[in-house]
Amino acid sequence: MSQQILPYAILESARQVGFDVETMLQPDTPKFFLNFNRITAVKEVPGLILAGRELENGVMADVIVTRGTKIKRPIHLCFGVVPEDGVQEVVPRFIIEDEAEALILAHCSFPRARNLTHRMEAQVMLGRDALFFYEERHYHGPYSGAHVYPTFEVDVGPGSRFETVFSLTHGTVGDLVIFLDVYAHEGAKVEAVAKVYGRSEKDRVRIRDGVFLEGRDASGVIRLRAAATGGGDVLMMGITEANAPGARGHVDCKEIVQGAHSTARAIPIVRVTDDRARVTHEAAVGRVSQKELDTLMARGLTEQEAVDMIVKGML
Amino acid sequence: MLRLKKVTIVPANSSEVIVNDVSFTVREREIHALVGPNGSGKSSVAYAIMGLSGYHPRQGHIYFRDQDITDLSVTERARLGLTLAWQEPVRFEGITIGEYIKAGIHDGDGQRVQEALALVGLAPDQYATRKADASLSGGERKRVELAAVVAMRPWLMILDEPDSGLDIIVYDELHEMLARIRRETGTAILLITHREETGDMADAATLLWKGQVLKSGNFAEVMQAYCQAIGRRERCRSKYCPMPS
Repeated sequence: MSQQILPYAILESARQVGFDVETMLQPDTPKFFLNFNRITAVKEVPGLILAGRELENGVMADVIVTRGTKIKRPIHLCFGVVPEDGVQEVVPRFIIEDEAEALILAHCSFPRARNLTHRMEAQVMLGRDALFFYEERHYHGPYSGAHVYPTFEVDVGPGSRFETVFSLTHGTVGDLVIFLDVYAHEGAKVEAVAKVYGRSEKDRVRIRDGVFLEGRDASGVIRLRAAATGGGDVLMMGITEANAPGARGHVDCKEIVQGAHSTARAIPIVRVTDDRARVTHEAAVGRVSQKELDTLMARGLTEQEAVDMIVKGML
Repeated sequence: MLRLKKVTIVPANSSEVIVNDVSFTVREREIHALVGPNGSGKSSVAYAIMGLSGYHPRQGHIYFRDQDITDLSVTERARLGLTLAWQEPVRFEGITIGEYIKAGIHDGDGQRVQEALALVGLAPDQYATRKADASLSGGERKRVELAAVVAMRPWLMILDEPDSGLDIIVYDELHEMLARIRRETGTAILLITHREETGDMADAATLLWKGQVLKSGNFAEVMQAYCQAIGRRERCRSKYCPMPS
């Protein structure tokens, strides 16, 4: 039954990144699953509309939470590709109407990628006083062969709250380029978190998160966490603009760089055009402290195991 | 169990001999106190025994359970059953206490996390899921460090000033804790301390003075030598002090 919904390799990777696969597969769990370009499972619940159209290389999909609907259970999305190469394109639209609430757990899995491209162009719209939590956990397999290019354009309505977490901390990265633009209106709150671990010279990470505080008293936090080891290359840029009275923003970048030829760069950019607004930032890039390594090695871990544990903790 | 033979240490970032020609032995199941004033080389000896980078002996050898471990890595020494609890343990962002303790348990027995926490007086259900980060007090972090080394079930644990920076009320608890660890695990302990109350638990002791061994013997004898070396004639509070006050 579960094999028909999603291949074993994708379910296994979901388990590996911490999802509760049994819950994902339960018949009454709200869900939208895509295996390459085939929609394999759709489960709506009252107030949740899931509509998808298969394309040659992927899917267009609408996820709509209707006005006033508060969905208590997480909605599971899965976009997976098992073959080693190919191109998958996903064009989702998330509409969270006025006073609606939803939590989405999305898994993007390319467990055997050697020369595989995944593109996503997501639009997210929150109405007034809505609440939307979107978490995306990726798994790109062991070969650094995935090329993953997601973009998100998010509009957060007055009084609404949008939180997003992107994580790629298991397996390799390959080539990852993320663009996130969030526009926050009056009283809206935004938190954007990205966590990525590039562990080989074939792993290249570019993340550009932007939060634009356009409405009075809007607030936003960007937290970027990354590690580059074994020659990995990470560049994370967090942009916050405050363009309205009372707007408050913060950008926090923290990266670990370890090993020869590894590179980590953190660029916080803040721009304020209203003298009643305020944006702060902090950035730190450095190697794992020797004492932390020694402590874990004195417990019997190898140096690489110790670095992994410390990085995963930080992420 | 552990034998240092004519060990001389010149730390990597220094040209100064910190420890010179030091020899002593820690026996099985023994609590062995390593005492001496600040700067006498106690922690350097501990780091050299553990194999930390920058503390490799320039001369001499370190033997552990009849094996020369002088050139082994920290990891290899730990896997032989030797470990160290730092005087000021680091804090780990994002790592739970349970995960931290479990890192040292290589046969996968998760129950030992609970047992180790209980042994050091921390309620397992409250602490196993807490983060081993800056939210812990100094005393809590030291207990967690003790739990982590106990959970490894090592042959020998080096405790670098487990009593430093603790509230005076906690001393009795620490002594009870060490007594319990010794009773319930049988692990040998190399105990670095400045405090007589802590050293009183020791079966044997070594006094380091300016990087050299000044005296080895039972704790009372060593403390008498310590008092004489200091030459303090007034306000010496050591009950072992042979000097007239």
